[in-house]
Amino acid sequence: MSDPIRSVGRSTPQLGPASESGDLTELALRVRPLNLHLRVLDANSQVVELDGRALMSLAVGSGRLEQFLATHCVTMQALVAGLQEALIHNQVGATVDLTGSGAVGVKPSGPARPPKPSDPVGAPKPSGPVGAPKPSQPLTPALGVRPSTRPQFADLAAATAGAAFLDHPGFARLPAELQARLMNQIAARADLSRAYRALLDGAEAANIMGDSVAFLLWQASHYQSPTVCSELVALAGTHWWKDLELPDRQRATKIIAHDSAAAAEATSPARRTLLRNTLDVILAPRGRFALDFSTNQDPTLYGSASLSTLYLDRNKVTANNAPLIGVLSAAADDPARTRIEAQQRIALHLAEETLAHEVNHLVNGDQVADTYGYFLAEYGAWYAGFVAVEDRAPTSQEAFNRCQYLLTATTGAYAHIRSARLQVGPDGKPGAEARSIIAFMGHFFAPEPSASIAASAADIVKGGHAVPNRDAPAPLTPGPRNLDNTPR
Amino acid sequence: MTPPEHDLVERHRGALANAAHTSRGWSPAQYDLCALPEWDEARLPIIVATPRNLHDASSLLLAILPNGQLVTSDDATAFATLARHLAPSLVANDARVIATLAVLFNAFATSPLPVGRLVEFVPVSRTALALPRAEPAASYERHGPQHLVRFYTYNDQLRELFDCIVAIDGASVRAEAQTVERRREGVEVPP
Repeated sequence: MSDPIRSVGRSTPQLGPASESGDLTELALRVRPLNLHLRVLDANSQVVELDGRALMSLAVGSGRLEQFLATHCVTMQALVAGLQEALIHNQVGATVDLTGSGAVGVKPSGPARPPKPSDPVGAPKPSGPVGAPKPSQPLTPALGVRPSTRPQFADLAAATAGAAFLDHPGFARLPAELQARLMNQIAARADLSRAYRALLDGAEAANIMGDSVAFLLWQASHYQSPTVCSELVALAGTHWWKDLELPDRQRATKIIAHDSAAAAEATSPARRTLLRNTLDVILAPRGRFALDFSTNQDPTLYGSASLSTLYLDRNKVTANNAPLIGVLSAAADDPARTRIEAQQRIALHLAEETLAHEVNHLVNGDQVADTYGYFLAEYGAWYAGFVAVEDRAPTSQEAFNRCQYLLTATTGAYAHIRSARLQVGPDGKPGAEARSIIAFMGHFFAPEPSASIAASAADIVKGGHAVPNRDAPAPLTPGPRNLDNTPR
Repeated sequence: MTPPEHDLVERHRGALANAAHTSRGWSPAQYDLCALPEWDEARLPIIVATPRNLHDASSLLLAILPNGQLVTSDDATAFATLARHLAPSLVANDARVIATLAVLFNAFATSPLPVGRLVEFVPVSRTALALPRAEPAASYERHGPQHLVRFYTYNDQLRELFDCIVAIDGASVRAEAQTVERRREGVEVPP
């Protein structure tokens, strides 16, 4: 039987200082699930063992690693080589023995653990001959995500908060590439560490597990904002989100994270209020309405609302962990860029305009009908959606363009508005609903069309009409209507 | 007296029910039927099935060919089928007909661009548009066996205008679109 402790010290690759610390962070992440023990000699030549949590603390704590190496007379190369060796054998509960004079070895305390499906995605499994560890690989070569250095916490508050986040049981269950990404982000941000920890706490309290926790943390990592994190905590506690299938849950997470960030960055109070209210009415604890997804055959249909649920077209948002709007790397003349730009415009419209638009229908209790009232409902919802996406009120010309579409649609719900416009009374003149529509459209004409003339129903939808004073603010809906999605 | 459109729906109700069920899984209680408004029914009858639960999906359009075959807007080759049917009798005045069919029967479904539904509508925009044609109306040209129809469609949600072209050449039907670029603010479009 061979000696279970194998010396690998001489074959340890010589690593520079920067890559050493980077490698240790990566290695610590990868070996932590193995419940590894690190065996070293203390100042009194007594053997002490450190567990995985202490190892992680070494990897991320400012100054701790240097102090550890000096106290225990262990070289960085020996430490890295020992951890690599443990990883190669994938040994649960193994002991990395650094007590010899430069010798490094791994002593298994149990049978080798076969790889599990639940192993962190993206973490490459080491391979190769025993005793010849390869230089460590980036954790996620496909994404190019790799901590360049271990976090050097800016101050005690950041270090304390960072350690509390990294010690959260939920952190260990995240995919390795996400762990590495989050570790990079928290080094100088105590507030971010606390926000990420609160997000893990929130997910745990809501009994969220597995991929869904990663959905939340991935999106949080794109925005690095405590505000976005707090909205995602609310999302985790929202019943409709938990009821969604995983791909739709991923889509919803992208949308909510994006809108939370957009609300925080809005320059106008109107847009900020609208986006905040929109989130409030669908998220815990005050949310009264649910979000769901549907598949629309009509590519021009983005969403709809019915009773207490709004539906978004799932074809318009890709189910993945990328941010809703990413950085375009393709060249301007690359055909792929055109496609991606179009997809992003559509996704942005869905997340900001459609969500606010459909919520506006819900907070106003709108019903589809062949009436002037339904025309105003669609106009008002459009107005709200416009502010949500454009950060300004629409102009009179823009409002006319929208009305043109609403009043001429031949399919879908908007066809009811067209019917209302074309209503004719017993006297051959426009009916009551049509007269009200013509009167409203008078905002866009000078002189105003007469509501008592049959031809006016056609005149108000003539294409190419230039609205007088076209850059003036669009008219608001007459009468009481909730235009900023205030929860009621 | 029964309105002609009602008569059209009644004559085809059974076939329409089958098509709606096959395409969308709808039962007759789930949708309303009507003839497509403002449409030359004699040329090509088209029925609109609109779901009563409007969140379910968009309307389903069903065109009825002379041989009784139904073509639904969910069919990926619907527009090509209809265009081939109309091609032998196309004249210049049919440009709008082709443009309308193209958007209603999703001719641009494979385009990466979010082509809109509003035909022959060029918005008066805050930012001037670099229009390749001054007239908003759809245009028709014939080059030997090839019919070319050019038109604008406006996506009122994204507020973007698209320059579209449909080429019908025998069995080949091609539909392409490109975004009409915006000029810098304040630059007027030449007449």
